[in-house]
Amino acid sequence: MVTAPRTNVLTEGSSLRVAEVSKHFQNLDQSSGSTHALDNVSLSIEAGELVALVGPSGCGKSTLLRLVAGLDSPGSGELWVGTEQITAPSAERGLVFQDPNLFPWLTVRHNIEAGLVARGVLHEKRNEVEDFIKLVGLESFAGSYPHHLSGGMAQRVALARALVNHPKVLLLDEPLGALDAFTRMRMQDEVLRLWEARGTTMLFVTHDIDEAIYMSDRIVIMTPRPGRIERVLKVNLERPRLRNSAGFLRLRSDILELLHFTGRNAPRELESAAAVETPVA
Amino acid sequence: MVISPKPILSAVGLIALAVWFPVTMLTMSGIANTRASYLDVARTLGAGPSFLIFRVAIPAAMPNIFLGLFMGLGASFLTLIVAETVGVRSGLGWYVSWAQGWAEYGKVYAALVIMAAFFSTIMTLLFKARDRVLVWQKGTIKW
Repeated sequence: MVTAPRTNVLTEGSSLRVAEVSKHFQNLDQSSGSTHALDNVSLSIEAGELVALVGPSGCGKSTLLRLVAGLDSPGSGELWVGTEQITAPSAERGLVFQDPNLFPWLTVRHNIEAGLVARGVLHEKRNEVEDFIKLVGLESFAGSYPHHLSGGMAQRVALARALVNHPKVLLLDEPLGALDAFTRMRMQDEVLRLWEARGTTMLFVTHDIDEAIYMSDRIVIMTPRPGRIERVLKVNLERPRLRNSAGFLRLRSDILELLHFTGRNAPRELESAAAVETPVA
Repeated sequence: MVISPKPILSAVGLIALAVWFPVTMLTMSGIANTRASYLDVARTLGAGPSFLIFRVAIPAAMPNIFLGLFMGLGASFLTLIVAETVGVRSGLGWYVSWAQGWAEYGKVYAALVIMAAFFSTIMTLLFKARDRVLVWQKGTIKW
C-alpha cells in the first residue's frame, strides 16, 4: 500500500553472533537463589537474515533480545554485531516491544524523529522523517498523539521510529503480540515488506508458530529452565508463503512436536522437508 | 517567624516551604515512576543522559509535576492567609482581622471577595498552563 521511500537505499545488514552466553537473575527473595535465564546460548545470524525465536514463557527469548540490544549484560559469553562487541545500547540495534511504547507526549511525527534528536542529527536528516511516515502509511496521522492511534498504527509508528536510525539489526520482542488476528497478518506482511526493502538483519521473538514460519528464514526453538536453544530449523519455503501449504503445515506440526504440544511425550523423528540444524557452538 | 528578623521574610519563607514540599515530592515520584521501557526504547534510539532526563523522564513526570504545582498553589494560599493573619501587619489576611476588630463587616466581606477573585485567577492561569503543556493528555485524563 505504500511505495518505498526515495531515499531508501538498501542498508547493509550486519551479522550477529551470540557466543556461549549465560545469564542469571538474582531473585528478589534473596534466599531462593537465582533464575537461570540463559544457559550457554550460541547462535549466529547472517547479515540480512530474518530469524524467529520461539518457545514457551520463561525460556529466555526476551532476555536474549535485551542482551543483543545491550540493555542488559550477559553473565558470561560475548555478543557481536559484525566485528563490534555489544557492550551498551546503540542506535545501530533498534528495538520494538510488544507494547509500542510510543512517547505519549510526542506526536507521531515527533516520535519518529526521536532517534534523530537523540543522536543530534535532526537538522541534516529532517527530510527523511517524511519518508518514514509514508513508509508506514501514516501521512494523515503525523500530527496525532499516540492515544488516538489504533494498536496496529501505533506499532507501525514504533517500527518507523526504530528504522529512522537505519539500524543494522532490528530486534522485535513479540511486536505483533497485542494485535488482533487480522491486523496481525497484515502487519506480518508489512514487516516483511520493510525487511525486503531495507535488508536489515532482524531477530524477532514470537509465541505464534505460524508467524514464525510465515516470516522467518530460520526458527530458533528455545526451552525454559534453564533457557537454552533446543533446535534451529531452516524454513525452506518460497516467499510469499502460503499459510495452508503442505510444507507449512508439516513444519508447524514438527515445531509443536519439538515443544511437546502434540500430546505425545517423546519427540519422534522429524518428517518435514525442513533441514534441521543443531545449535552451533 | 522566630528565625527571620523581618516579618515579610518569614511569611515568604513559610509559603516557600508549603509550596516546596508537594512540588518536590510529586516531581520526585513522577520521575522515579517513568516507565522503564520508555528509557529502554530511548537508549536503543541512541539517547544519552541529557535526552533521557530532559526528553523522557521530565516529560513523563509532567502530569505529576502539575499535580504538585496545584497542591503547592493551594497550600500557598492557605499559608498566605495564616501568615498575614498572625505574622505581618499588611495584606488582605491582616486587613480581614483588622476590619473584624472594628466590626466593619462590609470591609471583611469585600476583602474576602477580592481574595477569592485573586486566587481563582491564579488557579485558572495554572489550569491554562497545564492545558498547554499536557495537551497530549487531552481526551485520556479528566481532572
